[in-house]
Amino acid sequence: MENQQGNASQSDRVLINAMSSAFGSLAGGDNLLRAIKTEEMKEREKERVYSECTFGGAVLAHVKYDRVVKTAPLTIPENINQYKIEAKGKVFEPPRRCLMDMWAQAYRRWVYDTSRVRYPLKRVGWEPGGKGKYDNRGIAEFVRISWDEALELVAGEIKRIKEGYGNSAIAYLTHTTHTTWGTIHGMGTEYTVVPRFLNILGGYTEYVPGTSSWAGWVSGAAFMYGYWWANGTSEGVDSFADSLQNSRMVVYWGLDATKSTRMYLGHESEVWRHWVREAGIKTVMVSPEFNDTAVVHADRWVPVYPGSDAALAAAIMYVWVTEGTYDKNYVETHAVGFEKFRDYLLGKDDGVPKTPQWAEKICGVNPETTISLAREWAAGPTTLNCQLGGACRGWNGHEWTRMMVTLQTLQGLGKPGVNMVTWGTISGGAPFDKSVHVPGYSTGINPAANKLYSNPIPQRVHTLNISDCILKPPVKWKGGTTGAAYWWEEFFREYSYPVPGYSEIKMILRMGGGHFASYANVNWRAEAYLSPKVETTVMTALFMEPVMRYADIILPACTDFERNDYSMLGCGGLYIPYSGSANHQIAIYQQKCIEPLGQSMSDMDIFYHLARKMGIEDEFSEGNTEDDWIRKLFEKSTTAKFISYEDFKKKGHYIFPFPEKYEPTPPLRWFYEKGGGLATPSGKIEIYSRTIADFYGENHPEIPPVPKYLEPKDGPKSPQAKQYPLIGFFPHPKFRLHTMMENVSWLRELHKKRTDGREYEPFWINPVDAAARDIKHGDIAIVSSTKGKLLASAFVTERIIPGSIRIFYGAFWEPEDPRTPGSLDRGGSANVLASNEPMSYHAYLHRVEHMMVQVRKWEGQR
Amino acid sequence: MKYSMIVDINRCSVCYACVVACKNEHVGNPYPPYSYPQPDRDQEWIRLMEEEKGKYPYVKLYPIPVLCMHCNEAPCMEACPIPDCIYRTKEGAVIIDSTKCDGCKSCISACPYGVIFPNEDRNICQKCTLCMHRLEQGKEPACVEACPSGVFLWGEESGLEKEMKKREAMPLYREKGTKPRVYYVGLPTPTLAGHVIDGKSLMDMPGADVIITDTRGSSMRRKSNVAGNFSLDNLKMDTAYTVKIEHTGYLSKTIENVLLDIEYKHLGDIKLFKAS
Ligand code: SF4
Ligand code: SF4
Ligand code: SF4
Repeated sequence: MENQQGNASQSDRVLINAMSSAFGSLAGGDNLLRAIKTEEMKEREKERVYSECTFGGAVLAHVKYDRVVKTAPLTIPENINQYKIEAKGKVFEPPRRCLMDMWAQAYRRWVYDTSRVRYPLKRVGWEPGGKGKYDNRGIAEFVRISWDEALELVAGEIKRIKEGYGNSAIAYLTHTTHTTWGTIHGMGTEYTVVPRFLNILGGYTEYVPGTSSWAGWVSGAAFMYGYWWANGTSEGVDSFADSLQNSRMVVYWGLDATKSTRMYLGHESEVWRHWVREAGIKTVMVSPEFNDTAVVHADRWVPVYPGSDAALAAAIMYVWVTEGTYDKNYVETHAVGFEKFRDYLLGKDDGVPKTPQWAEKICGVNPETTISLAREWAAGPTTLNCQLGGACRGWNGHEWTRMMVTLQTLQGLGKPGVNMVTWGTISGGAPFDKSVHVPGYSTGINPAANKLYSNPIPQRVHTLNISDCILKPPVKWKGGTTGAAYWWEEFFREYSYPVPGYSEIKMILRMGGGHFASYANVNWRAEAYLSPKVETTVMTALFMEPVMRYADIILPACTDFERNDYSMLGCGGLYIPYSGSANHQIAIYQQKCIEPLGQSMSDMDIFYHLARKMGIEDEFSEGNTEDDWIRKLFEKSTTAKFISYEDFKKKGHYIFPFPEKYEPTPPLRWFYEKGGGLATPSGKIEIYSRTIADFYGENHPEIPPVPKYLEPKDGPKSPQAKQYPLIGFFPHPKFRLHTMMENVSWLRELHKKRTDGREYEPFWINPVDAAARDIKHGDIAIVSSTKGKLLASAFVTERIIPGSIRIFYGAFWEPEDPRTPGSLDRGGSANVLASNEPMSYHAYLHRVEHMMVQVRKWEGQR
Repeated sequence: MKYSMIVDINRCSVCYACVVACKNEHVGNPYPPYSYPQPDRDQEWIRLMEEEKGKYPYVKLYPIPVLCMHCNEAPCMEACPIPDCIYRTKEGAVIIDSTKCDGCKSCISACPYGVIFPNEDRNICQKCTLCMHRLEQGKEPACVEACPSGVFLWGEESGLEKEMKKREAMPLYREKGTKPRVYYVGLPTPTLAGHVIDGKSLMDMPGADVIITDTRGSSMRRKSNVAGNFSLDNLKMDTAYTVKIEHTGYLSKTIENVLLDIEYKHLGDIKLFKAS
């Protein structure tokens, strides 16, 4: 493995030295260096500025000496009209610049990290034809090979596997872990280019990554109000102004908005949360942790045990129902099945009224706080901010999301000021010109292609069972939606692996990072890669991340800065059709500003080369170069109406002025006015879901037709809690995006604990729990669950509910012995602890947020 | 023209954009004559000090961005044995001249803010330059520009004076007496807080008058905010206070002998009952 210590690389050092000696000479009055500067040097010395879009938002890359020396915010000139919101006697206007977050600020450091894979690599001992040795997979002994050899080997293996076993023996694994930002490259390649390549060849075994950030929304909330195409999150555009003008209170529930909405956008929405406070709207945070959002945006923190939130929601509604403070008319005209839910609340079916006292035993909230929160909520229009990550990815996440929808339904969802949102990421929130359409990664190159290819192979594997499929087939399961753009039937469909008549997987093609650390049960995941049954594993990679150690061939890809692309700030196309979470609508020609490092090349180029080797270049490319694809996508987008392609390429971005005349369409206002038209069988909000009842019956313990609080199967009341008494929760990380940027020293040093020459991932623990274990702030502890064990450093804090610990997932997995499943992870990768059990019988989706764990001081014993 | 800044930590959402922006601006980049490149790690010219106060579930976090204070009476300057090595620019920035510095570290021990870092490779000491190279181009410092939350109020010293007075801005570690150019709003001080609610409805009570009196009879007064919260700061540790809460139409409530034994003391929900 290459050096991952994050020191300046050799070339960095040479450059720094060159520049600083130049500085030294100038400052010292020595003009020698100046005199010998050639014209070429002067040219290279000039600073050039390029437009870029990253997964941390839009930036301008400053390039000098052929290196990116800085990323700076893209600014919006004064003469471009931007939105203004008048509310509560104030006028709110966004800053005239894109709000970069720490990722966008550290992007150049990431691009140049010493762990970049610069050359194609082959594992020592691997041979084509399934003849090699497999006993060093995971140990990462690689030799550098030429691109020609690498492509020859990969193409040869694809041919051999295809001919010998059939196309189903090739599995394509992508994980929506956001490699790089782009429409034709990076994420765009993941979504469209690679599937196209494989489909032209006759198809492949599809891998269903499943959403881990919206799992509960698509499997729960969507059954109540539709929005399957938006991962089960509802409309967001224009919600923000409406809340600012009409809401009396904003409740943040089960998410850390300040931290988690940065994905794709940076801090664009952070100003909105400040405005909420400035407008005098009171705010509440319901969460097991006093998170960053709570630090500055919450008047009140209501701590709840992780995974228990649905009980609190039920108790709030119990208060409304018994006090008659819900919108009876709305419920009658806009929802179906309320009576059955009311019976549940009042305990008519199970003899247990869902009182605040009942809830206290489950979620730990003082009944008076519950009553107070319920009454405050009902006292005026309240916005619920909850649609991203957090509670929806955990135990029975679908029950929590259904409870959230029910809460707002009882208060008249869609009425002025009664919104359900995230404000950031896919939900949107800002005023937004809906006539603007720019493609995004989820549709990739498809809108520009003459012919699209589908996958004729019916076999698939799912992220929750991939290792079982490889290690101990056959495997059967039900449901398996990825989330976006799937319909409810998807949950009821049955699958098996292998599909009769189709070969098992013999070859894995992987793209994107983070397979291990971003998804549950890392040990189990890694085990599959050790199997000699998988004859060949090919990975495209930016960095030598832990998963790469299990590759047979590594193809080096390049970052956003090293190729051209076309995208829009914060807009993913299809399921993120708008960039409504950005303050300005900006189409970006992502300019190539430096040459690919080493021998790396763009994701798309890699597959161009492979297509050529496979003899399918014409079908694959349709004669298009990178520039042709971009131009064709550009011509199909709104941007083409305002600027020529040549000017756009040169300028690098186009900022759509906010329309002078703007008619806001607050979310679900149409539904409020109409009382129907949702994508549910009845067109109304289905508090009681006939679809669920028809399929699972009236009393399924894991998926009742009306939302309920369900005791988690392996939660605090399960037998495993004896040995693992603490509730571990593993939210989206702050200092990295899934695993991305985990290698960046600038960010590591901000949160990792450095001791005895290593860096340890921190975990939060309440002083009460720490004292009980004789653990002090900064101590290294061993955290274990039924699935694995890891080392992490104790961050003792009052900011977390006692009885619980928090570790951000996504740290690099560093097992002591990568070939022994279950060996101690020194990287502190939380998903070592998480279970790959599905969320429920109903939802074959991640529930990675919660797991029972134990913590013990580390004194060297395993 | 001399510059100053007010850092309003009440607005800080702990996002670290400012900290990483400084690295983005300075790591690997020399800005002659003000700075050599910042090394890849171990130097945080601006750091975020997360001061946690209070007891679960009433926690308060004070995230304090700490950069060089560009002191008007700078101990680093006095401690430096090399003539003119540490100097002040007309913009008010205190600069270590890297071409003169020999890395003796006298300044490091003299600085009360811990913002100077040794660079062992080059034998120099390095720190924040107030982004002099940017000021010369008419730009704000990189950390200021990076903040999404409006924490930094940046500008010409004279223009900020009114705001400083109004918001009672204070230097960090004022007792050090170094006359910093960086001022803070919302620094941690001994604080008494609480949440006023209607005893019957349990709902928030905005606009309640909270009067606290110490044993010597001096008192302070605040109104509870929109969410019924109040917070009185700048109190004295280990002092007993009498807290009185009043609201028209309600019986007032007095809590005697509230000992300020932790720096952020929260009284929890305080119930007022209607007078009738
Ligand atoms: S903060 Fe420290 S380094 Fe900065 S001027 Fe004051 S004494 Fe010098
Ligand atoms: S003013 Fe410039 S040098 Fe100083 S901390 Fe801010 S960004 Fe860094
Ligand atoms: S950038 Fe602003 S909000 Fe973020 S940590 Fe720095 S001061 Fe706080």
